[in-house]
This record gives sequence, structure tokens and C-alpha cells, in this order.
Amino acid sequence: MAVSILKTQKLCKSFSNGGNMQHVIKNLDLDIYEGDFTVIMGASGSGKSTLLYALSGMDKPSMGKIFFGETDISEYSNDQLAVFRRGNCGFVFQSVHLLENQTVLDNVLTGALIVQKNSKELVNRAKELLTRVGLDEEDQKKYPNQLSGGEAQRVGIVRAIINNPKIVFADEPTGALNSASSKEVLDIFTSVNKSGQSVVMVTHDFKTALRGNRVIFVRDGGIVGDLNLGTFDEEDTKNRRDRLSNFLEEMGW
Amino acid sequence: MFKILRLSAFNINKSKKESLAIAFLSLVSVLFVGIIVTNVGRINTTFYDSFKSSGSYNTVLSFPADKYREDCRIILEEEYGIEDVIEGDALFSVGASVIDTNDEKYGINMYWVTPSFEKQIEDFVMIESISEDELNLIAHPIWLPTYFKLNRGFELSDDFIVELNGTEYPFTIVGFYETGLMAGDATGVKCVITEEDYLLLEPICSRFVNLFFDSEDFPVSEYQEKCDERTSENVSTGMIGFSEEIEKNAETQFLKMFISFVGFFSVITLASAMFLVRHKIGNDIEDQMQQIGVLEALGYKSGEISLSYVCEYFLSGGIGALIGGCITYLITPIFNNIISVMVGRTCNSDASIWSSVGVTVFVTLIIVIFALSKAHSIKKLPPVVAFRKGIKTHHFGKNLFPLEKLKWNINIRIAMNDFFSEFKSSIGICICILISSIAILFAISAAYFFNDGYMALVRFMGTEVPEVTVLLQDDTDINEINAEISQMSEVRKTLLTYGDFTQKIKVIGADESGTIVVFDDYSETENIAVSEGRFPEHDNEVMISVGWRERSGYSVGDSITLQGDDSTNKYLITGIVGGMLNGGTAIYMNTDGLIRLNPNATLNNIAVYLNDGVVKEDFENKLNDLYGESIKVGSMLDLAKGQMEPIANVTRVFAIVAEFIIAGIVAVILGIISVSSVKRKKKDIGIMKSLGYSSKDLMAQMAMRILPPTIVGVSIASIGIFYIYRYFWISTFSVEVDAVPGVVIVTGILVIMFCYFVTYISAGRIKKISVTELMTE
Repeated sequence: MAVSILKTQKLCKSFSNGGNMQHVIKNLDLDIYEGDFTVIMGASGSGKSTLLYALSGMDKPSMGKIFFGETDISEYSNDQLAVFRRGNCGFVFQSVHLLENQTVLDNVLTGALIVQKNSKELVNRAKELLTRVGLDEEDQKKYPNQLSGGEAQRVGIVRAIINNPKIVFADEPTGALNSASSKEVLDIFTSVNKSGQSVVMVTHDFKTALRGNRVIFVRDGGIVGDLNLGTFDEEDTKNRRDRLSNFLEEMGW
Repeated sequence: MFKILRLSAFNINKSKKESLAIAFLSLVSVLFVGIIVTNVGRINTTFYDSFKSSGSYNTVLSFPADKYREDCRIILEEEYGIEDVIEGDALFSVGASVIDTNDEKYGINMYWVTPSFEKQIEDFVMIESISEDELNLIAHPIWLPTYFKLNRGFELSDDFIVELNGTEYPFTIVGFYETGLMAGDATGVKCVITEEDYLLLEPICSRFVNLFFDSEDFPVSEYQEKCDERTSENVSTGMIGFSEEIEKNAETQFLKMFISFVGFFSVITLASAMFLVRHKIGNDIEDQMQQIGVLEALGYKSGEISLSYVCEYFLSGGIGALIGGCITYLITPIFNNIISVMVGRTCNSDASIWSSVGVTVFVTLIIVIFALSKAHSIKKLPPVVAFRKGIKTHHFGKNLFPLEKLKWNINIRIAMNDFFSEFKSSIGICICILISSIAILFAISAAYFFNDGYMALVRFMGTEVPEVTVLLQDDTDINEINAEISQMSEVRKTLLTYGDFTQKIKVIGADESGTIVVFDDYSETENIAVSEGRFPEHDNEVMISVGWRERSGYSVGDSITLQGDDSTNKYLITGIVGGMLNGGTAIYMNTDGLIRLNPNATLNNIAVYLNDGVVKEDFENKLNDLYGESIKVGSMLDLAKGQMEPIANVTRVFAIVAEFIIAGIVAVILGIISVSSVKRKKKDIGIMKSLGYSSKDLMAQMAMRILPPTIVGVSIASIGIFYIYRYFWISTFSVEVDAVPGVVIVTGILVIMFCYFVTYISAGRIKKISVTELMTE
């Protein structure tokens, strides 16, 4: 039986907009299971990124509960959430958001050293992961503005997984990449997921969504569709494509 | 122009706190500079206006009556062509005790003259007096210089009780008059009494013959030589010469010290404001680089954009300066009053609006010039470069501290990385902290120095300041009296000395006279500290005060030639003593040295040090009862208190206030730097938060980033303050006062901690930055 790693109960998130309250997430109940590659889809403004940031402890809910395993994190202070994120979550942004004044290797280590003590093992692991995603020793000494978009996103992914988080969140990680770079990046996510880490990814992109084993469709701050696609398999693309296509059609995509 | 103003208004609205800070610094700068500009001139004006309205002659030569010869006046006529010379007697009391309006006793040197002589030497202009009818009813009327009204708070018809040789002489104040010479406690105050009272005081005071005349830059030393030559006697010994300039310098000396304190702080504030302007404008340009690119692409000329920045500072700085100018104008009467009280003369001039306007325009102009020089860099930014946030080439900088070699805490390492990546800005912060730290260390050192009030200055008199001095008036054996006094239960110890520190001696080849200080055994003295060399041990040795070294270039090992009663003798300088006695003119010798100079001289003064708890007045009365008119009891301590207490208190209060003002300025600057850094690094902060860095981690990074420039700045300031502080005291009072190392170290550490916490707290804005700002939706 699937074990829930993240669970929300009546989750609400509202923003004040010039005095008017905008209710982006409304009474949302959701379980994210251990080892799943969950894809969140929806139209622009549907609340999918807001949901992702709330799930990852980047933002506090307005109402409702979020459980990480058995722990209720919805009442955590900002600093408690920061400590929670350190060990448990990795995050990949669409715009990558690397620290411009740090080298590739330092960007990765900055994420690691807030959790772990510096050690040869840690540095070797960072270098190894970077090498695995195609960034050699020379690339590792570069600064972010010397990288291509795909290279930068790969650094972002390594930074997100360096601490072996239980769950990796990704907000449109391929949104700014060409198709070749997108494939490389998605392959890495697939490999991360196969190694046992849960992935929760927001995307607009059909091809990207195919990588998930579960696709959730969000509309007006609530979940309106939940598709079980099964584990990603290169050989089975056609079948997955059809099922996802039908699902999205049902959702009015 | 409208476009430019609109852009400026947009920038001000966007950074209200920074604009307020610049307005605040401009305000404080104008206030400080305004106080200096308005009042430096006013000090002199007050003196000169009062002097002029008194109708006084501008020079006086006072001879001890027994030394004076008719030839002294004839020389003035024959050799200097001065024919309008008024000759007349005045009585002189050293350290007379006056009971003030609070019933407290303080010492003051007093001259006594009669109305007829007073009317000869000046116009005797009353600013306040009682009627003739009332005057006729008063037994012992006294007319006092305005000093007693303004500085000491006496009013018409008040009792004015003077204690001379243990006897109280009560007078009634019947008028306050403007006077030129002999008008303040630094030179002695001239009081006018009736002929009858004059005769009453004559036996207990020293009589001086005075020559009053007008002369520009009268050469006193040359005149003394001519007098001695013509009379073939040493008639100039003990002669005191005052001129309008000497009087002015003596009366305004402490006030100018106070003003120079304010001046020092005004420079610091202005420099800080300029630094903040440059720092903020540099940050603004960097922050708004893309916006600048957009504006350029829309057709705005780079000149227009840079003018909009200048206009922003013109508006924020100008408004602050304008408010500062108005406050300066409004508080000018208060400062007029302070000057009037401190100088002891009426201040007639009204507040001039033009000096306030001038300072306002000056400070605004300085801000505009600084803004212009920095905003000029926009002209070098073509739109494409601006779009790319000013990056012309890729970043190939060397990674000085790679994380893989990290040995310390990650937060420290990131802070150091930020420090080096913004090295230029760090140098600016360092300079700003350096200047501010000097100001704070100076103020703390001054406040610490004046912690004991006037006693702090007393310690640097450069002579003994015992509780009681006993000056022998006849041929009584000093050793006999000394033996008796030293055995009294109230007495801790006694020392024999000579004269009452008004004894002047001619130094051959120097422009000023010396003041003789004589003690037999200097190792027994408590207030004469040798800063260089050693005490005089033989009859041909002297020590000199720092003033001689600084002004005339004498040093240990040199010879100094002194003119005694019958001979001229060379002395070897064995030591230097820090002391402000008579403007740092003291020359120290032992009894043999004195006799070598003046074979007839004998020690005639006993310095009496009392045990704790002894009531000085009771002991003085006891001495007067025992020895009567054969002694004159006085108190150097009362004299010093009268002269130094007001300025010591004012300076201490100002130093404490200045500490807080400078600390406030430092807090504002660091706060603004911190807030603008948070704004600029908003994205990086968001990223770091997403990685799990807490707000406290990031605030600590921000605070640690300013530690290196702060530590460097404070360290340089802590070393520099020893030189600056010492130089200040030497140049103003000819005394070597050193900053206390413990105070400097503790203050330095506190300044560093203060800077850290101010930056940490100011970076609290980090808490408001949410990772959601990195969201794409």
C-alpha cells in the first residue's frame, strides 16, 4: 500500500490584492505518496504553483493543514519551515535562480553546507552528481552567466538533490528550455525518481507531464482530476500519450 | 524638466526611508555647520562690539607699584610716540573669594579701581544701574562688569561679598557696566568701588600702577627691555601687559574649544551624508539598471536620467537642509545667549538670516555635486549594456574562497564572499566607520576626561593646586610657620613655593613672558608630571611647559636665558611638563635656581594639602585667626573652579550628546546600507531561503558582511585617536592629554558590536522576503 509522504487537509491559500482577497487554493485535500512522480497541471492562474509552494513549505497556508509524514508543518514559523526544507525538500525553479556570484560547484555546495558539514565525501558527491548531469570539472568552475539554459537547469537539479531530500519539487523546470535540453533535464528527474525520491512537478507541457506516474489537474484552486499513469516507460509512450491526452481533454485542456 | 521631476518623484516614493535618511543627515549637517558659521564670527563680534561700546583703551601695562618708574611712561611717549597715556592705580587681589548667588564660594582674580580712574580709562557705560537717590543710601556700592551679571547671575541690588584674607567685605551691586580690558576671569575682573572702600582694601591688596593707551600690536617684550635699560633696574619683572587681542583670546578660549568640538562633529556628519549619497546613488543605478535601459530605449537621454537622480537628492537633501537652516536660524538667539553668558559680554547682534541661507545652500550644493559626480556614470551606459544589468563581459573573476575548502561556518563564508565581491563599497563603509569611530572615540574620551568636572582640567594645570595657599605678607620665617601648619591635624602635607603664579619673568629672545613656578622637591608635588626628561636638580636647571616646546621650539637639552632682577642667566632645560598654567608659559625651577636669578628672593608661599573631610573654610578661618595679617590665605582650587567649572560641564554634556548623535548617524547609515542591500539581494535571499537558510542566518550574513570594514575602520580609528586627541589638547591648551587605552579599547569593541547589531536588526526586512517571489505564475 502506498505511503503518504505529504498530506493536505482543507488547505486554503489567499492573497490580498489591493484590499480584495483572492482565494487561490480552496479547501484542497491531497495526498502525495512516497516514491511517486506527481505532475500538477492546470491553466495559468489555476493555483498550481501556489499549491507547490505551500506543499514544499516555501509558503504558509492561510488555513488548513499540511502533514509531512505525521508532522503538521502548517503552524511552523518561517524559520522552522526553513529548517524543515533543509533536510526534506529540494526545489527546482523554472528560472533556475542560481546565485550569480558563485561558481557552479559553490552553488551546489551552498545548498548542502547549511545541512551537512564540509567533507571530502560531500564535495566528491557534488562533483560526481554534476559530472553525471554532464558538467565536467571545467564547467564546475564556471559562473552561472557562463552556462546555457539547459546547463544552468541541470545545476539547479543537482543543487536540489544534493542533500538526498525525501521529496523534490519542480516548478516548470523545462519552461525556458529547448526540446533537447528539456529531454536531458527530464531524464534526470526520471532517474532521481527511480532512485527512490518523490518528485512533485508543476508543468504546462504535455511531454513533461508524461514523465509522471500521477497527473493531478487543478482548476480554481481545487483538484478536479487525478490520473494514474503508471511508472514512466520509454517503450510505452504511445499508450501513456493517449491516456493523458484523453484525461486532459476531459479536463477541458 | 517635468519628465525629470517625475522620475525623481518616482525614485523618492520608491525609497522613502533612504530619502528620509538623507534629509535627516542634511538637516544635522546644516545644523552643525550652521552653528559653527553663525557663531564663530559672533564670538569675535560680541567681544569687539562690547569692547568698542565700553570706550576702553586697547592696551594696558600693569607694574607692581614698587617696580614702576616714571621712565616707563616717558618711554611710551618718546620711543613709541604714544602721547595719550592714562596713568593710575589699581589694587589687585589674587584668587579673591566671591560668594555667588548660590552661596557657593569661588576664586577669581580681581582688580579694584575708583570711579574717577575708571572714567579716565573708558566711558563707564552702564547697561543697568540704580538711581542716584538709591545710590546715596548704600554704604558700600560696587559697579561690576557685565561678566558678573551674564556669567555669574548677579542682579542689581544683590549683595556682593568678597572674602580677602579671611575677612568678608560686603558690597551692594549698584550697576553693571561695559568694560574693555580686565573683563573676565581669565585675565582678572575690574570692579569699581568708592574712594573710601578703595582705601579700606589698599592694605590687603597689591597695588599696581597702570598705563592705559591705544596701540596696534604693541611690542611688550621690546618695551620691557627698553624699560630695564633706561632705568638700569629690572623694573619689568612682574609687569603684566594686556591688549584687546590678549583679552579676547583669554575670554573666548574655552568657548572656541567648544566650537571646535562642534566643528569636528559637523565635518563628520557632512562626510557621512556625502558617503550615503554616493553609496545610495551607486546602488540605485545598479538596481535600476534595466529600468535605465528601458528609459534609454524609450528615448530618454542619459543626461536626463542622471539629472533625475541628481534632482532626487536635490529634493531630499534640499528639504532636510532647508529645515536645518530654519532650525539654525531659530536657535541662533539661544546660541547668542550662550555666547553672551560664556564670554560675559552683551551680545547685541540679531540672528542673521543670510548665514543660515548660506549654509543651507552650501550643504545642498555639496550634496548635488556628489550626486552629480556619481550619476554621471549613467552616461557610460548604452541601453544594451543597461538591459544586461551593466554586464559588459562575462564574470571570469577568481573564486577566492571556494566552498570545497570551507573550514568555517557557511554563513561567515558567504558573508566574506559578499564582502569581497563588493569590495569598493566595503572601502566606503570602512572610511565612513573610521570617521564616525574617531568622532565617537573623541567624544567618549572627552566625556571620560571631564567625568570629574573641572578637576579634570585642574590636573593639567601644570602646577600644584592645593586646597589652601598661605602667602606670607611680611618677614615672618616661612619655615617656622610651615613647621606649625604641617603639624596641624587637618593637614596632610605642605610644600614650600614661591609667589602666586602671577610672577612673570622675561625670557630673552622669546615673544612671551614666562611664569615662574618654584618647588624645592618636585618629587613631592602631585600635579606636576614630567612628560619628557627629569626634574631640575641644580641651580642652573629648569623645566618648561609644553607650550614653550610647541610655540618656541625649545626641547630638553637646550638652553633658555631668563632675565632676573640683577642679572641674566642661562638655564639648561631638563624636562618638559604638560600644563595649561597661564597659557602654557610656566618655567619650573628649584629654590637655588630662583636665588641664582634673584638673589633676594625667598620662598614665601605654603601649599597646604588638607586631609579628607576637613572643611576648607574652617581651616582658613583658623589660619587667619592664628596668623592675622602676616599671611594671606587663598585657594588655587577655588580660583580654578571659578574659571573652569562652567566650560568643563558644558563640554562634558556636549560630548555625551555628540556620542549619541554620531551613534545615531552611524545607525542611520548602516541601516540604509543594510536595507538597500536587502532590496538589491532580494532574489539571492529568496534563493537562499528556498535552500533552507533561515532569516536569522541571512541577517547574520548581512551583519557579518560589514564586520571586516568595521573592524578595520575601528582599529585604524582606535590607533589614530591617540594622536588626534593628543594633538587637540596640545594645540588648544599646551597640555599632553592622552586618550585612555582601556576606554578606547572598550569603546572600539562596543562600536563594532553596535555596528553589527544595527546592521543585523536593519536586515530584519529579510523576514518579509518570501520565496514565493520566485514563483512563475
